[in-house]
Amino acid sequence: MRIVALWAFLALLTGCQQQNREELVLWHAYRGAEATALTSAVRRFEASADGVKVRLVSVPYDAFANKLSVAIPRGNGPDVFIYAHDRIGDWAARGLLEPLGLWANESLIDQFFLQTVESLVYEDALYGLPLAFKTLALFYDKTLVDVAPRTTAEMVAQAKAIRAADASRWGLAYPLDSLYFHAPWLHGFGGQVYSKGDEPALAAAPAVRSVAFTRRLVHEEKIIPEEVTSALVTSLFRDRKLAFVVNGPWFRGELEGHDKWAVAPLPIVSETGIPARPFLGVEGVLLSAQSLRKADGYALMRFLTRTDEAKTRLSSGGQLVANQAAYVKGAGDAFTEAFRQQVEQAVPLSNRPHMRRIWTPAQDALSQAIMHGVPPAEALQEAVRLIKRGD
Amino acid sequence: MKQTPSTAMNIATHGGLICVVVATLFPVLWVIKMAFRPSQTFATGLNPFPTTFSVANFTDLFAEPFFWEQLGNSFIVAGVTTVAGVFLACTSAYALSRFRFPGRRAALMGFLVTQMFPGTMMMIPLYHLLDQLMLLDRVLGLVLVYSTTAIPFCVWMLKGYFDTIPRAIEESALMDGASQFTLFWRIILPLSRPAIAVTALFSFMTAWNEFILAATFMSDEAAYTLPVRLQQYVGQYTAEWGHFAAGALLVSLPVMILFLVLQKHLVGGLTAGGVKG
Amino acid sequence: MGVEPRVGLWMPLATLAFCTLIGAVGLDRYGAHVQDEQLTWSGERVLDAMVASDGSVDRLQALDGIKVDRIVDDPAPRKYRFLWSLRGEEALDPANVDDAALVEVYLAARKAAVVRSESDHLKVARTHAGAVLVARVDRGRDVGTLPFYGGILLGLILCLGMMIWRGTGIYSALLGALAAFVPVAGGAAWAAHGLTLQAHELATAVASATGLQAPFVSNPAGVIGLAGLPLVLMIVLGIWTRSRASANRVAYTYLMPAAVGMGLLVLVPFIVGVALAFMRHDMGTFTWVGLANFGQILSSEGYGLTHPLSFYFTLAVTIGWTAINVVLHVGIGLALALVLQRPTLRFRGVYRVLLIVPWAVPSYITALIWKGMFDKQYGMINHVFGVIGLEPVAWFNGFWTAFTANVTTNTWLGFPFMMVVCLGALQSIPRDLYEAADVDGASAWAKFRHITLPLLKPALLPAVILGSVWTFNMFNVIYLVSNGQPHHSTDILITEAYRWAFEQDRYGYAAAYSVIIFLVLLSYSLLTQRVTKAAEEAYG
Repeated sequence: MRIVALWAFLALLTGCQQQNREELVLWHAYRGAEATALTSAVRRFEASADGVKVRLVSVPYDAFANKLSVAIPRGNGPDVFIYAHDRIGDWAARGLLEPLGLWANESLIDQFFLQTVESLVYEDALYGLPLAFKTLALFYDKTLVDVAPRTTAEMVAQAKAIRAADASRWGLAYPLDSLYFHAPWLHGFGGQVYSKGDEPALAAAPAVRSVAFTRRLVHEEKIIPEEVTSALVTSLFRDRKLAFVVNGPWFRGELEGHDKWAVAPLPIVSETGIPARPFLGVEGVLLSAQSLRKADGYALMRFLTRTDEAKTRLSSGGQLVANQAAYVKGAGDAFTEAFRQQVEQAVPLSNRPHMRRIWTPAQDALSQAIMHGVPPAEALQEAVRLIKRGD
Repeated sequence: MKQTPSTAMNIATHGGLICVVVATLFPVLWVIKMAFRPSQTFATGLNPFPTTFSVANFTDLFAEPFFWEQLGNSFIVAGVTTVAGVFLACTSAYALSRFRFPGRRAALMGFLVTQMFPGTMMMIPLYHLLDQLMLLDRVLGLVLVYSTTAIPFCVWMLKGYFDTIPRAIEESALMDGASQFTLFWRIILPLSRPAIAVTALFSFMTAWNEFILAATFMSDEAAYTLPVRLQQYVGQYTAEWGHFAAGALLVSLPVMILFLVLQKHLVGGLTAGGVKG
Repeated sequence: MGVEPRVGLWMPLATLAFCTLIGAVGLDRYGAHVQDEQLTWSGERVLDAMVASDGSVDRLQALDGIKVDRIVDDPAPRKYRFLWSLRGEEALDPANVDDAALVEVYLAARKAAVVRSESDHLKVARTHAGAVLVARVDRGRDVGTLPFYGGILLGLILCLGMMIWRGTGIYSALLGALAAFVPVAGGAAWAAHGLTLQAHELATAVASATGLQAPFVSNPAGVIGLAGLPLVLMIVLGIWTRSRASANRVAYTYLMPAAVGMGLLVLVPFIVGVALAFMRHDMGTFTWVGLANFGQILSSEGYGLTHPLSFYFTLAVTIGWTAINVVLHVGIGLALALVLQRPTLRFRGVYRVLLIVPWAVPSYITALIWKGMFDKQYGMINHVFGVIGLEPVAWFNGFWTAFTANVTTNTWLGFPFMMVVCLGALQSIPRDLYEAADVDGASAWAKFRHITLPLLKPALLPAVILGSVWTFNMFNVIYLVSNGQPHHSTDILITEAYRWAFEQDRYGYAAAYSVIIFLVLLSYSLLTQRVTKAAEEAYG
């Protein structure tokens, strides 16, 4: 029958494409220059470790976490993969990651910034080696600002002066409703997201003060525009209509062709004397618990994170490597130097699963308090209520 | 006798249509702007027309590794989905339209009901299922999953269309000794060309534009489809909008070409004098 | 017209063979998966272990002097708490030692003493200083495979029973299916419960050891889902055995491929999803909570009825969203199709292709462009408002304005589809009807009302009904354009479910949401049954 024939034809399509387990599989979400850098590093590894072949698979960032969580338990996952650290708690709790406690040693760990390693630790087990980090710093326009401010009072004063001189210019801009961007002020006022014991601390007094601070900057000092999107920030900064921007290393890509700007570590909060501490995000290389070639996988991880590889990535790609031994004279530039100083004042983003519940309620609270006039204490309490929803 | 519309009506109609087309294409102008300028930032602001012109984004796209394989994969997956989807839908719709058998109501409702459970929740069990059936990383796996979205609509639409074809045509053919299959193949299908064209386009679109399942089920870059490549340009903090826009334009082209081709079938099958009893 | 029973047997036998094939495939995959498993160990319930401190495989020695129930236990203060050590070892290069070879040597060395059973397995690990260990660890109770095979077996038996007892009709078939489903689902749920209990036990036990990971827990929902396979076969077979007339057999033959494929790929994940709704997900473990999730949702967690976070508010918004969108899509699509199908219109091909562009361009980028156009300060819409003298609007600050933004974007994205469907459907109306009406002097509106609309219904209704189901579950536009602003009020049920699953990590709760969405849509479709029946009568 024709129908049977059709099914037979379709069945033929199931042929080919066997999974090749002879290779070490490495997943990543890199693009462009970073992907090329990774490929050449991997080829160097293959040359040094004879007989080991590595297959690189680039996975879109949006699909990465999901795909990993379903693939590894079924045995279809990678051996090694490169990803941000924030889902480690999730994956470790589900047994998808191999702890490196018996593999790594002290001299290896000493090479990295301790905060970057801490980001990869969950429940006293280390789950990966840090490759690079991302955090926020203060970008400023050199034609408008001569010297980077050391305190927030200085920054506000400079911003107000620039605004007074030309009303079409703004003093400072960053996405106001994002907790990720607000975190420097939160930590600078002595607040934190979670206190000991997994209890949200977003409604505590320091947090309220930090939100009140931002409100003041928007509505009273009027140095920040009321509705800010990242696209707006880019276009304003490029048009020289913006003095200060709180942003991360990826911002450099958007400033291509633009010059006379610089980066400095975030200022100290004048009200408390504590430095504004942004969240630290770490990109690590992790080992799958279901891998059949753990020794080779670990060797690849060691190779990718070692000092001379890190130096290459730092000097040619400008990547903020987590290997502190790589930051010798002449390896980086002023840009990486600013971020290197910042990483010492950064707070690792918690990798516990509960962290993911923070973002949307915090976003609601920030937008309500800063842009819609709701009192900060009330907005933050509502956020805490939302975070604990479903418990 | 057909009435030809007056010139005034004509101008008004064309004028109205042009307004609608402009309003429709306006947002797409920004996509074009982003595709043809060398930067990777998202276009905001008030000017939708490109101020600089460069094809760098397109050349970058073609130079990416595996681009041609992925393009081929997209065509294969979408093509097979269209063929299988339309074929299976035609047969099922024919049965549902022409025969009264137990379970007919249930089957019709069943096809509808399968669309009601949110797809995002089904992804993980679907992955397990496909893995168990050894269909992961294979064209057939993706095709089957896409068909489950495409088939219900195709079945319903074709059944509705088949319902409008008078039984008299079939009865006279049966009396002339035609078999059930000849009836289906030579009489019903040609008369339903408009509906088949619509369902073919729909099946193609369903498979062509889908990205999340393709990204999850395929574990090798050479096996990805084009939308997955497009989504690779969207990173954690930023996206390469120039490349994405260029890719978006590329991805839309085959659809528009397919529609152009299918247009000539959007002609009534019963208007050619027809078969009158 | 009777049919020889023997001739009709081949289809049920084919499905039986298919079912067995699935079972065999599952068996093979499952077995292989467990065999290749190489998890790192938990240090708990280690039954036996051997170490090679200098890396040479044949020097594997028994760990007699070391306590085997807490391998990692070094009281000496360490600089980093996450680095572990083993007492009494020497440096060595782990890359020289091969897992498989280790296991072989271990087995050879312990041949007499080792009793390999189903409940334990071997694990290999390396210390940071290079020593190598092989341990036999008790895996504990594993019921993972039982409900899977039990379900298939039970289903097979019942299928055979149905086959033998012919002529029972669809209602008996459905009853039989339900009867089979209950023990199967119950057994699977029990197994899942058992699995989650086991995981929970282990997790607690392991938590006291220094940072060792919890063992991998198989997703119980997957097991339950596969046990639903017999349900599909039941219905198929039940329908089949009823058919005696050859005409019906033809119908089934035409219908079967699509039905079986759909059944497998949609019904199974659906059953899994439903099963998940009765569980609570917390850090990788699923626990049975019965109807608690549903209770929480339907009581809208203590929020008032009109609070934006209340379930009923979201439901109302979703229904309003669907209704308005469908009306707009169909209205605009139909109007355009009517204009564009006139044979006298020039360039209509060009117009049609241009108007299909919103459907053709990936909606990810166009939705974001629309969001940009609604921006308060720099968006196009407010700019146009300014030009014609209206006040600029803060679109995402208020419920109705954000809702309008969403509706506008979705209408732009959705009308081409309706236009194409209408273009196709309009072709089914015989032209001579219009000509006859012209002869009678009917106006354009009368022609539309009395000829076009009624005859359009059968071909158009599917698109409208399915379109409303898709709009009800339209996740993309809401998420990308307004993202639920202000304050979650423009969220629809599906975006709420998504947030629960992927932002709050509560998969069980999200699954319960999905089940409720499904039930709402199901009742809607039962309502539309009457309409479709009426439409069918139009053609007789």
